[in-house]
Parts: sequence; structure tokens; C-alpha cells
Amino acid sequence: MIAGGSECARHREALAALAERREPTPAGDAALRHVEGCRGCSEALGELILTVFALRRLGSEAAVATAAVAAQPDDAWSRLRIRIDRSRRLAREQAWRWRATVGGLATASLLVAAVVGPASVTIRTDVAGDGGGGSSLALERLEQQLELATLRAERRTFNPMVALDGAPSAAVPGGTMYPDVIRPLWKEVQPAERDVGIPKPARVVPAI
Amino acid sequence: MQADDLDAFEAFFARHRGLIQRTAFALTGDAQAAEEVLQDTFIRAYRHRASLRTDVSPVPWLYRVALNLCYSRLARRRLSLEPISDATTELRDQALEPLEVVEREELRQSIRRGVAALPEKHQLVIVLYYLQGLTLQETAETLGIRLGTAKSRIHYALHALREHLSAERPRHLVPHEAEAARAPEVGR
Repeated sequence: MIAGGSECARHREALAALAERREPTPAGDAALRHVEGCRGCSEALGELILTVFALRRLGSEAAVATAAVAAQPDDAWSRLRIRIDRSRRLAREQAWRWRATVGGLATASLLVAAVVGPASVTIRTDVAGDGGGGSSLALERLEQQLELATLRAERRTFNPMVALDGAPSAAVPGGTMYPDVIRPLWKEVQPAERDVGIPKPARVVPAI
Repeated sequence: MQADDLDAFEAFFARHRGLIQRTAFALTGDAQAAEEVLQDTFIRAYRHRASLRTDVSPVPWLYRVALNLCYSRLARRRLSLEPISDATTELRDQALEPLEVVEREELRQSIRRGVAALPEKHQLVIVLYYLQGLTLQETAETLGIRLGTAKSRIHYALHALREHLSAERPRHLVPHEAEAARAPEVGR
């Protein structure tokens, strides 16, 4: 065989050239001399020649057949053109389908925004305190605080429970200071003060 | 062509259709299948026209597509088991004995199976060099490879094919076929 000994391997390239019937070379002559004495290489050369022969015949048959087909008027381009047109039409349809989908989604989003948008915008400005509604609310809060401060001042002025020295704990024993620093207008009576007991009636001194 | 110019694509089709159709016919042995491969190859070329490079030859790309289509078609339709088409039948020498016709056909199918079993880069050189009849230099230029690389690939592909034929030899190799192949060699 070709791949057998080193001598066979040395002639492998030359044998392939012989099989392809390239120009004779010294290496080819040496390979031929080797083939005469080597049964394996002789068989391999025969198979190579047969392979090349079969390949070339396959090519020449195809060339003759396609030349015969090409000589006849054919409609290969017309049929290809039909397929190309179909392909283009499909591509256009797919592009429009994609655009229609996106357009539909965008339209739906706009509709939702048009319906829900104004309400959400109003709520947002009220909560955030900015914008026209927000400023009126802030003004209202300011007025409330002012009114509350005035009320506190009035209470401080007219509250009889407040001591003159201004010490609320002294004026109101056990009095409660509310978180907003408003002193109650009335004295809170502790339950313990009610149980002081029934006052004894005044002793009646009999008349002499 | 990349700008969807159909006239340019028609010129492209006219320039390369012969190579593709011939290759497809050689590999499938069926004129109808070759025509379908031709159409499918160029419709793919049209769809991928935007990505086709303009600075290199489109021929290797077309060949790869055509080869893949041929082999997928062969695998699907089992053409190797079908009779050869009428076009090829007409080409046969009418003087051949029926036995010789059968043997030739078996050799043809064996070669097709052998080429199909090769790696893609070896298939391409075999198709261009043997089936298309290009020279080594033209084969190398078409594939964008060096001459030495083309020679090396042909060498390995040829030996792989020889081994394939050798493995199938009891089925097709007969004395007169081998003698016909050897005849010119003997004269040298």
C-alpha cells in the first residue's frame, strides 16, 4: 500500500501526479519504477487513476448535460424573479405587521394616558404641594397655623388658671400640659379630690 | 446588487448560474434537483445580499450553499438509490452493455458518496478542480487560498476518495472499468 513502508510513502505525491496525468517528472519516473516492484503501490495507483477518472467523467457529464439545458430557452430567471418578488412582498408584510403592532401598542398607551392621565396628574400635584392646587393648600395651612397661634395667645392672656409668674405647674397642681402647649381652660378635677368625704354639718349651738 | 437592484442581481445570476448548476448536476445526478438547487442557492444569495462582501469573490460562498443544498437534498430524497435522470441516460454510450451501464452508475454513486463524506474544504477543491475542470491556480484563486494549500487539499481529498472507493470496491470495481481508466496511462 502507499502508506506502507517509507519507500512507498516517498512516492505518494508522485503517484497522485501520475494518476492525474500531469507532466512527467523525474520523481514520476522513479515512482513508476517503484510501482513495478511494489504490489501495494501498484494497486493504489490503479485505484487513484480510477478515482480521478470517475471524478473527471462526472464533471464532463455534468458539463454536457448543463450545456444542453442552457442551450434550450429556459425560464430560470423568470422563476427566480417570481420567488424574489414573493420574498420581497413577505418582507414588506412582515415589516408592516411589526409596525402595526408597535403602532397599536402606542395608540393604546396614548388612549390610556388620555383617560387616566389627568386624574393622576391632579392627585400628584396635590400630594406634592407644587403647582396651583399645591400653593393654595400651603396658604391654607399657613392660615391655620396663624389662627392656632392667635388662639394660643388669647388663651394665655385670659386663662385664669395661669399663675401670674407664668409657671403653669404652680397654678395647676397636677395640671396636664398638652403636646401643643395649650393649657386647659378649666381645672381638671382629680378623682382623689372627690373622695375627700362629706363635710360634716356645722355644729349647731343651741340657743341659750 | 446590495441596494436591491434587480437588474444587477439578474446579471449576477447569469454570470454564476452555470457553475452552480453544473456542480449541482454532478453531485445529484438529477437535472430537476440541480435546477432546484440553483434556484434555492440564488434565492438565499438574494436574501443575504446585504451581508455579501463586495471585496471578495462570491463564488466560494455560492459553492458552499449549493453543496449544502445538494447534500441535504440527497439525504432527504435518497437520490443515490434513484435512477439517473433522462438527461444523463442520453449521454451514455449506446454501445455499452447493460452490465457496464450498471457498473458505471455504481461508480458514479460511489464517488458522490465519497465526495459527500469529505470535509467541506476538501469538497470545494474537488468540485472546482475535478468537476468544474479549473486549473490548480484557478481553484486556489477562486477559494482565496494559496496554490500549495490547494495542492495539499486535493492530495488529501484524492486519497480519502481512493480509500472510500477501495472500501466499496467489491461492489463496483470490475476489470473493464479499471482497464478503461488505465488505458491512457499504459500508453505513456
